[in-house]
Amino acid sequence: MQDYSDEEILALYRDEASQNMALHYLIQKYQKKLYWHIRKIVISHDDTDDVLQNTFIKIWKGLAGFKEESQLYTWLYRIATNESLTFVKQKAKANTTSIHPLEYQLSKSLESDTFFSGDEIQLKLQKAILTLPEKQRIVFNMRYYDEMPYEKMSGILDTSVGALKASYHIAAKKIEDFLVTH
Amino acid sequence: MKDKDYNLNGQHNLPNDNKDKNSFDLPLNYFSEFENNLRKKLEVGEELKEFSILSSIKKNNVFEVPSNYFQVSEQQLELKSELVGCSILQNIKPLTFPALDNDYVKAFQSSIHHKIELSDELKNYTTLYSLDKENGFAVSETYFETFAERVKEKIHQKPEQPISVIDTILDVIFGKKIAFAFGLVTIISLSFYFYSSSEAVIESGNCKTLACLERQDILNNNNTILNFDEDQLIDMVDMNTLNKQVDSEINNTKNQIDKSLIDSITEEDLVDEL
Repeated sequence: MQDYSDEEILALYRDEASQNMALHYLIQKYQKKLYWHIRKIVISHDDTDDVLQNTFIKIWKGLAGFKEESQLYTWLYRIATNESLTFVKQKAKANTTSIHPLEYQLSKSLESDTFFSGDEIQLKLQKAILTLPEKQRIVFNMRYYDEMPYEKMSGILDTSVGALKASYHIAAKKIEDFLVTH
Repeated sequence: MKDKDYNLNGQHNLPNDNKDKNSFDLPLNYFSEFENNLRKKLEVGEELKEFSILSSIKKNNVFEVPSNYFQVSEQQLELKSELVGCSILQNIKPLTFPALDNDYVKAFQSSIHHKIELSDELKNYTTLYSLDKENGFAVSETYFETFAERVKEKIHQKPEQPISVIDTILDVIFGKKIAFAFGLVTIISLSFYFYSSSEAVIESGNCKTLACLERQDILNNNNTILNFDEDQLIDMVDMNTLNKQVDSEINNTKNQIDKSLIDSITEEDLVDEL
């Protein structure tokens, strides 16, 4: 499938006759990247599916107002990140029946999740990541798994490069300590 | 050690008087070949004399050959000679790959630097550094194939009106059937009310107070009277008329009692009295 550039997709979108095509190419280009970005935050596949759909709906509705002050992928990732964080917060609020925090429950659910194929050490690593605060978790995942440069991350998370570096190193230290002690 | 009597081509140097001053060398067999080369050139020149235009054109080689062609062709010949025993391989045309983008090399270099930077960052965390970066999360094979269609359906779906609890309750209360029933009951109730209540003033002769009203009239209008408080009721009563009526009632009653007593007296009782 031909991979259209962001500029081409935006050009297709501006033409009313080809807007549907623009949507199709936009989804094809970014669905996997955004899926994995969201999945690492919300963990569950079903929750990821919901958040991803809502993300694309929000993107579609907001695309008319996209001012191209930032790169398209920055804007998409920002929406996906915010939707994921909102979802996690709502789920934590609704989690009133259990005495355990949401992250603990997610950590436990990984053990029996059919959509988790990692070995023991990978499971331990994911549990370690879940002990981090949300934003630190996002920073760690984007740097460690996505290997994203700090400058790109800064645009997405609206945080300075220095703060991101500090956040990443603190996260890595916490994970290291968790892996050693568990 | 250099031999001063012979030049670099192994030829004897010129006579001693020029030996030290002459530093020029000559190709091998130059003088013996010189006459032959000259004769060939003269022959070619003679042949072209009858073609004046042809002989006036400069003999330049206008054909170009790719740089390093002869080196490459030498290498290719060498390779071909190695494949002499492999006829199938010899017949396979080697793939020609498209040229790399100019930006590719720059992007590749920055990518390598970035990878090194990432690796260096993790070196302080030995356990984390030793792990393979595997994605433990899985997703079904067909998920991404159908995702786009599902999102498009949702985008083009009509938006659902948000349903609130208050709206639901109001729908139940003010639903068509309920509204119809409520209206009917209201109409019937009002009819009964207006039928049973009368706004006409009950008059009894010239008296317009409660004292003049018959008991039955009062009972018929008990809805009105029930709303009166004690003071209002007392104000409504004409005391003079009431006293007169009470007195007349007493007298009537007394007369009736006397009459009944008299009627009840038998002849025997009278005889006994006498």
